[in-house]
Amino acid sequence: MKVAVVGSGLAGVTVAEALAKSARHTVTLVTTETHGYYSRPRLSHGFALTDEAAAKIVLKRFDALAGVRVLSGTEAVGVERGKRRLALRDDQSIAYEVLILAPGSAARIPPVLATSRPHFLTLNNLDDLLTLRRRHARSRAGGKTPHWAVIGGGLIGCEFASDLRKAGDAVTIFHREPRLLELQLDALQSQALHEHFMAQGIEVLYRQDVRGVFMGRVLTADGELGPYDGVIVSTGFAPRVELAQDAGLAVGRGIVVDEFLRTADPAVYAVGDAAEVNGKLFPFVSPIRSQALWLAEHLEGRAPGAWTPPAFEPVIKVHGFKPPAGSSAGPAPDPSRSGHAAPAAAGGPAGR
Amino acid sequence: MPFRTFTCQVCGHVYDEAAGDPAAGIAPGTRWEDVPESWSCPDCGVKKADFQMVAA
Repeated sequence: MKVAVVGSGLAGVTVAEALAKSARHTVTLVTTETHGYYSRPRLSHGFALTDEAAAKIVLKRFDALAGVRVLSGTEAVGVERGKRRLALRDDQSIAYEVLILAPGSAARIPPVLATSRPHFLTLNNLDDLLTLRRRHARSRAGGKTPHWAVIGGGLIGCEFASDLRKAGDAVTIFHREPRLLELQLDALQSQALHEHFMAQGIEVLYRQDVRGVFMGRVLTADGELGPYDGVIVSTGFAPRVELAQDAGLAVGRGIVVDEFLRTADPAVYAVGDAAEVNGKLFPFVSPIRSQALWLAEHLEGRAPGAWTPPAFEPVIKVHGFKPPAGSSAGPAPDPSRSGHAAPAAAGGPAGR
Repeated sequence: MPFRTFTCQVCGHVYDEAAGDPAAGIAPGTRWEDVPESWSCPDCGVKKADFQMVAA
C-alpha cells in the first residue's frame, strides 16, 4: 500500500516507522522540518541546556527513519482527493492509497497581537528555540543579563519561564488570569507555584490585558512595560487544519475524525495535535503515540476495535516544583483545554 | 563508575541514575540495569522493554 504521511513530529514519525516495518507498504513522509525528528515538549526545557546537550535535542536524523522515504524541507500544499494525490510545492505531487495527516500545531497568536508579530518570538519549533538561545548568547557575550517577557502563564509559559530563569536570565510573566495554570491547578497549587516562582526570582504580573508588543515593550490596558531583551508569546496552540480544510474535509479546532481516526474520506486519516477525535483534542505525548501505533495496527487490519485514549496525566515540568496534592490531582484535566503546547489560553481570546 | 544519563528515544526524557525516579519508587542512585522492566517513561509512557534509552 502506498502511504503518504504529512508531518514529522511524534505522530507522523511514529506511524510512518510502524508502517514501514511491513514490506507491504511504501511510506513517504513529507515535512517542512529539516533538522530531523525531535520531541516538541522538550523544547520548553531546551534553553538552559549546555550547547552540547542542546545538540542532542534532535533524536533521529531523517535518514535514520528505517524504511521511510522522507521529503524534508518540503511543504504539502494540497490534496487532490479524487485522484488520491498529495500536491507539493513546485508542481510536484505524490500518489497515495492512504494519506495520514499529522501536521501538528502552530503557536496560537491572539488576534490583537497579530500586527505585533515582528516584535515577539514564540516557542513552537526547534528553530524558535535556537533563535532564543542565540539571542541569549549574544547578550551574555556583551556582558548583559537578558530580561525576557513571557506572555501567557499556561504550561509552556510557566515551563519556559522556569527554564529561562535556570539559565540565569531575568523573567517577567504576563498572565491574563488572577492565578497561574488555572486550567491545570487548583487555587492552592497555583499559589504554591507562585511562591516557587517568587523564590526563584521570577516576576509574575496577573490580570494583564496585553494589547501589543513593540520594540521590546509590552503594551497593556494599563500602560507600557519594558523594554525587554525579548518578548515570548505562549498563549496556546493552533492545530494546523488548512490542508484538510482546503481539501474540503471537516475541521473544528482540529481536523475532524471519528474514533477510527478517519476523516469523512475513507482514504484520509489524521493523528496528533491536529486530530480532533469525536470533538476532543489530545495534545500530549502518551495519547499521540497511542494514536499513531493504533493507526498502524488498524491499517494492517490488526486493531480489534476503535482507538480509545489511554489513561494519562500531564506532568508540569517547572524546575524544582511539584504541585502539592490538591483537588485537581487525579484524573487528567480535559486535554482539549490544555496541553504541552497549549497553555492556559486554549479557548481564550486575546492577550495572555 | 560515575552515574550516567539515558535519553528516551520517543520523547527525549532523560533518566539520570543520580536522581532516579522517586515518583515511581526508583531511588536516587539506581543504575539503569536495576530499573525494573515494569518501569515506564514518566513523560511518554513507553516501557523500558519496548524502548531503548541511549546513554547521553
